Amino acid sequence: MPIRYDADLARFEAACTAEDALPLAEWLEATAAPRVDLSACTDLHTALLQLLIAAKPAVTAGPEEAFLARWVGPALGCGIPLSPPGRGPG
Amino acid sequence: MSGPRVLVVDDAVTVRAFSRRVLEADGFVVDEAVNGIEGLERAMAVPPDLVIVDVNMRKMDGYTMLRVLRRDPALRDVPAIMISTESKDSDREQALLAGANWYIVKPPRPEMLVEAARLLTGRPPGGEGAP
Amino acid sequence: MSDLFDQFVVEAQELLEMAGAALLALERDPADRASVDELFRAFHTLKGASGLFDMAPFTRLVHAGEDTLSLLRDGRIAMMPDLADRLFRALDQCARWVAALEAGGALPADAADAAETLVRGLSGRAAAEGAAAAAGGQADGFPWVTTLTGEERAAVGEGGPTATLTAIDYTPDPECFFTGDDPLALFRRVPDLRLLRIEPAEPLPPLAQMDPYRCILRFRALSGAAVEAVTHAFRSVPDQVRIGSVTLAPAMVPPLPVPPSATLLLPAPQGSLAAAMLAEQARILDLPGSTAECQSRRAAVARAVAAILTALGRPTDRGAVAGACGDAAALRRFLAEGPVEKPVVAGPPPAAASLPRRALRVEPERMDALMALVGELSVVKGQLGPLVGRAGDGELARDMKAFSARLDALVGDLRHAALRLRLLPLARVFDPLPRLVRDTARRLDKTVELVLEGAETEADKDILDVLGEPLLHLVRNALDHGIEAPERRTAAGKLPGGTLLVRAFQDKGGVVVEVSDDGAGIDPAAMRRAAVAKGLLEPEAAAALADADAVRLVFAPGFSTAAAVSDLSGRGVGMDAVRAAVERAGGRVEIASAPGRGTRVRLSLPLTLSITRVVAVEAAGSLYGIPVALVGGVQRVARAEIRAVKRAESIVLRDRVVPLVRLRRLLGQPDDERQRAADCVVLVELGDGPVAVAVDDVGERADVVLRPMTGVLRGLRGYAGTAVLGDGRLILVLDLRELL
Repeated sequence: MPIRYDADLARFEAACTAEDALPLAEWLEATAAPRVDLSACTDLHTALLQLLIAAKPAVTAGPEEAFLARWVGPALGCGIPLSPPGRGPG
Repeated sequence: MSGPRVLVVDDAVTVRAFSRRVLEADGFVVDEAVNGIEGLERAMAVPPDLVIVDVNMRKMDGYTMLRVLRRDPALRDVPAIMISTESKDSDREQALLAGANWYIVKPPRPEMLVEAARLLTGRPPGGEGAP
Repeated sequence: MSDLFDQFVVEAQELLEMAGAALLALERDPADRASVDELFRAFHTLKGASGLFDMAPFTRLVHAGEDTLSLLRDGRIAMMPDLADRLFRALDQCARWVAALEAGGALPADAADAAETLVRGLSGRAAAEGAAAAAGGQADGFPWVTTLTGEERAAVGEGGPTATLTAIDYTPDPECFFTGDDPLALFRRVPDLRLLRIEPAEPLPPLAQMDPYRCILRFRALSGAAVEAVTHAFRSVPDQVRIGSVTLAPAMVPPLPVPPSATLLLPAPQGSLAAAMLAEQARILDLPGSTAECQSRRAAVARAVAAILTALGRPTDRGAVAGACGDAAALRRFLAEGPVEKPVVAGPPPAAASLPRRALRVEPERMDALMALVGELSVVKGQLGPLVGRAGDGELARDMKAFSARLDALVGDLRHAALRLRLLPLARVFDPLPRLVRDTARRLDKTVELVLEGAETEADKDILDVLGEPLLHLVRNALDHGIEAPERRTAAGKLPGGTLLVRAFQDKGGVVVEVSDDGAGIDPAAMRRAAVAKGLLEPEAAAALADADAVRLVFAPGFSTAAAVSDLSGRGVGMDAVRAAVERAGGRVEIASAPGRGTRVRLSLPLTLSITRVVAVEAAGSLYGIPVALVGGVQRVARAEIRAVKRAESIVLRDRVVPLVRLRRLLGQPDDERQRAADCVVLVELGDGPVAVAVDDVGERADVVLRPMTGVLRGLRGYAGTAVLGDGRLILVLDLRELL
């Protein structure tokens, strides 16, 4: 499982796909003060992203992968990383 | 005692009347024309201190009018405001390229119109919005 | 702001009328660019003008119309009858709203809903076809691009303050997760992504109600790459994305590439209009253009900057400002630090201006005053004639005669010129016809080609007012009862489509309007039968009627109560009303019809109501006027040719028996005692047929200002009014319809 749930902390690892959406939704709903760690996440499916945007869990660590760090992190309130990792691929 | 002369060029009589009212209330002398050709004719007859030009008009549009105005030795430095319903950057850019000094999106707020007209005719900006 | 509002109402009416005409033209000829432009401009102007008032539904509707037309103008959609219908509905709605605004000052309560429905009708089509075009690179309308925050702008960065970027508006299909799409992942493939905004496309539901497999996000992005390159990344979802190029202009305070200290020293506070304007002036200096263009822009910028500085209480030498307007950087430095270069002489002084030709609007009251003065001048001038006559034969008298003749000519010209001022082209009454014909023909399932000729013919505004309603009647009648259904036409060996010709021209100092159709025509035999059936005529009288006179029965009051006339496929609805209206204005109506071939109705009206062209006639030593519009001819008739049965006299003219009346008897004057071999006869055309009026003598024809009878004269019957001839003599203008 790319998302490991550990009490109130969910760790996103590698490529997290749409299959994780339902369990994530259930966990976010069931958890009083959910926290997420995105540092190891290399790909985040839109279905997961919109759950995070809706539930606004505390982000203990933002994504480190370049694209996610630059474009998705800010949408989740992680702020822009100190050293911008470039303009993304292409 | 007559204030700066503003030439309002717009094919919409309502917009002209609006501008006239707003500007005259602030002491401007307002002249009107319904298209670019008439605007140029009026400007040549009585050089204005400021022209306010609509974009889309029959016979001659605002861009053309400004270009011709800028080629006329007697009128080429008359400050010009272009006014249009379009809010796109490309429209603003086109207005400046044609020779406008400023661009206002329709419908203009009266105080915005007056303040812009004041600045471009050298009158101190009035009202609470003044710096 | 009520007069402003009134002005809007008038302007909106004019624009809607114009738009309707252009739309009709466009429907006939979808390639008619001028009409597309006209139509677009009408909607565009309405949008701008209505935006000044609190009438959002109105503005919304015309805005949607403008959008549709802009697609049409760019050739992205084509003109089809159903699109025309939708635009007509929008115009009609606007017209109703304008009427409501005029009556009650506000839009009706259901305006928002009505607008919504019509907008959906318009843009449902426009959006679908526009989206494909947008993907083709002609996108416009990424309004969010203008609302970027300063931070976002900074992030977009590179490429200068007016960089051309590619904007992406991507609203994924909510069900897209099921087809394996990952919208976010698509952006990984976008080259040179500069901005990505991820937003809910709809209000976020509470987490518990959220369907995790329904996509509710939308994406807005900017890329530095070309449209084609970006489009490639979205090739799997072309129906969900809009891509187009946008130009990013600086915000009110553009990010200037100058040291922060210099920016702070700008003579106006950051964020103020003055600061923004000054910054814009600097930017203008760096715009591309020819040498001449740049030079004149510099001049305009210099003057604008000088004005702004003066306005800010920092008047600065104009020359110094001009010197600083070399390029953007120099101007920014100057604004931050003060003058840097020596003054440069400003442009040459204004050249002597020539006053060009302009249109002029004159109040009707002033026109009337002018006409009255011209009338008085005529009277005074008329008194000169007798004076000259008394002056005898000397050199002085000859000179006076020559002078008087010149004055005559000039006063004549002046009258003519003054009269022309009140004239307007008939286009005014022709304008509603195309729409009327289109709608009526569509309703009746007939194909009708309307041909308008002579719209430039001029007549007095009062006459146009008289003409409008009868003309609508005639056209409606021709479509309803004249032109046959296509099957019937084909069966009769005609083209399936009928032709309706409305033609105007000037004639005998009056204006003539003809309405001709190539329809079924009127059958005189059927008219005779109908007249008998309605009890209007005895069978013998009906049988004795000439065909032409039988056809004229359509104008008889009481004849034309619709149903029967329709069955005869003749015409008649309101025809007596048409005749009455035209005759009240001193005109007359004629009709000619050939069964199976068509009908022509001709309305003849004087050029003006206030100026009437009369023939002066004499009876018992007094002068009278007969309106020329009624006069069919003047001739001498030998006494021997006048047939008398008791006191009733008649003559035969062009194989017709025409009753003859004597003006002296009509006016209660004694008969002419003189023995004459012939009588002078004026042939008067009244609605029921010609009448010969015998007079003592016939004089000049003249344009006169008709004054209604006033005071004790008002009670007199048979007179239309008094008038003064060019030579100052007073005449009574006859109302022959009342006299006869």
